[in-house]
Amino acid sequence: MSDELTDAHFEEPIKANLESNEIHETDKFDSLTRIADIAQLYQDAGRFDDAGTLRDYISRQPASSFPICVNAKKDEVKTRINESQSELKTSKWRIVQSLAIAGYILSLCLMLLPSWAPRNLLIQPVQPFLGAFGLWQAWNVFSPEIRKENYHLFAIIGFRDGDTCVWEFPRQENQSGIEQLRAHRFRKWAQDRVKNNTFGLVLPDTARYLARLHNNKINPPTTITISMLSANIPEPRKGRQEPLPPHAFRTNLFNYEVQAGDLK
Amino acid sequence: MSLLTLWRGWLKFWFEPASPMPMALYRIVYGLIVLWFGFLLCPDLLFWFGPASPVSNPVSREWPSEILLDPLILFPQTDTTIMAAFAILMISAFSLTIGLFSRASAFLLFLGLVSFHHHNWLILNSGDTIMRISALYLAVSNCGDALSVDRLIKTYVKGGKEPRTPQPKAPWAQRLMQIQLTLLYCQAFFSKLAGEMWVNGTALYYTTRLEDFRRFYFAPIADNVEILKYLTWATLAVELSLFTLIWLKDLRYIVIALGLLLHISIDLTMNLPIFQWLMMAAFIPFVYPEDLEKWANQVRRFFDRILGPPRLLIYESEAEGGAENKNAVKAELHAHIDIFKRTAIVNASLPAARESWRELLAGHTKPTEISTYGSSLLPPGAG
Repeated sequence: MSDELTDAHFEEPIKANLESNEIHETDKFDSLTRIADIAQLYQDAGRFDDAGTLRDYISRQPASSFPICVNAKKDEVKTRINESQSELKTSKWRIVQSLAIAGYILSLCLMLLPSWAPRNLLIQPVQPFLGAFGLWQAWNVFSPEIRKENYHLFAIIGFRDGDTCVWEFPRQENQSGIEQLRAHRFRKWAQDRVKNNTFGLVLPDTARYLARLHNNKINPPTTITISMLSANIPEPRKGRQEPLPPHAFRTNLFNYEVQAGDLK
Repeated sequence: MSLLTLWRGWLKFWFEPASPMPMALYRIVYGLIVLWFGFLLCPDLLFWFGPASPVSNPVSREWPSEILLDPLILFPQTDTTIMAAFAILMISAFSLTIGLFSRASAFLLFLGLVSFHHHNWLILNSGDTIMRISALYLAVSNCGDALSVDRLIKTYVKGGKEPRTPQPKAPWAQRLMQIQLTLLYCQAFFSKLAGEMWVNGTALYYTTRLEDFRRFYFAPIADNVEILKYLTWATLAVELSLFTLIWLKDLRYIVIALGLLLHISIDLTMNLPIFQWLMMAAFIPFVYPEDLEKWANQVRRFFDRILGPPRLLIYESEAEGGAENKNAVKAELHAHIDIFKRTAIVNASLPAARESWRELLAGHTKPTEISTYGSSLLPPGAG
């Protein structure tokens, strides 16, 4: 040790640190009362060979770390200093952790890459795990293209006596406030899943739901027709934009004959 | 650059101890958003997940992968099951927010979200996905080491010996969250580049005209094709910077500010609840702990200006008799709860404090109020 450590060696750099870090008054208060204790603890921990190294170390520490040293026992200070250094040492556990992290990131990258033969081959072994444990993901929102039409869905329910009624899927654009926030799940269901008939199963499933919804023991529903009214968004042009046209173009998406078992 | 240098860099990035503050703050904000999500879902819970849902269970079980983790199917498919599972989900979100059994709560929340999501994934959007995955990252992180009830419990159990400043730990879970966000924006950016509309600048023209997404319509901007064109390209530029420039220390906060602006704009104009908020919250793990401390001090100084200087609390940890530990525990619990540092806490048993407190009392902090944990602690003239 080239220079014996005294309280002064600690006081000056800690004060400088507190000032340069714009430390709150309470922290200053806490820290300044304990400088002597900090000095003792650091010295006992045998962390520094000389005052210069110590000064440099203190100047780089977050000021909030000083009270830690005071509260801790001397042995704990030693342990902590050693722990923080051992975190960066190569150990079997670090290698295992690193391999797991690298494997996980690689799997994420593969999942997010566009479909491509080598990618599809590599992801095969991990895909079931990612899917099963809820780690599946895709972030290609509103891309690559955005649809150029507006539409809404409705259903015509035909009853045994020949009567019909129209049921419109909830539309978020007709809601406001909290109701509008709630309605986004209806949008996802109707506009994306029912309209696109995901897995070819959603349209019949929805038709059965609508049959149950309109079930009437005296006059039960017999047919469900799910349709869509749409309108193209006008092309952008210079100056004033055209207002959005009403949804006037009708497309029938699905016709369903209600079975007896559907109404249970 | 040698392989050894790379390996050291890797270890430093993932394992060099760092403050748990960013993840703790993220935990609180995330928890509040999940509670809001629960509030929004509550009225429609049975509609979407109950036995009479428009999406029947066989349809919701259709999935490219054969196995789906969904503990809900182990129970009778009744309304009661769904409501009980949802109650557990919300309780775990609440306990995660306050930091009570943080890791276990986060894991339970993750499990609950996975189960509900696999029960009816047809109504999910990207917000649900980021919510589910973030819960897992929180479950493996040290998010409960700060700003939490867990810390209070630990302080109590250890008899007041828990350090006031949370201990730095290997931040690999926080880094995973950062990498997750990077990959997210990377895919979002490149998938947009593959389309014509984002390149020719008409993408925002069409998105602002999708009636089923529309929230507030700002005609002066939404009707101006030129502005929309520049905003389309600006969106691409911000997304690009959110997985590249965000890693540069000098630019990080500028990029985050731009990211916030992007998500606030989307939130105002499009009805994608939760998603934008979760994305904005996900920037918190990118904040440097030392900056969090600096900002917290600014807030504390603001409180000092409004409420006056902090009060002083003196306690004696080594008093004779059986009260010593109680004093220390009480004082340390006080210190942990007092996140705005409205109290300067002095252990009168430390020799340095014993010598200097009179001087400090007289001039340095000018406490307006003095409290003590210990019978004979008031210094002469201080009472």
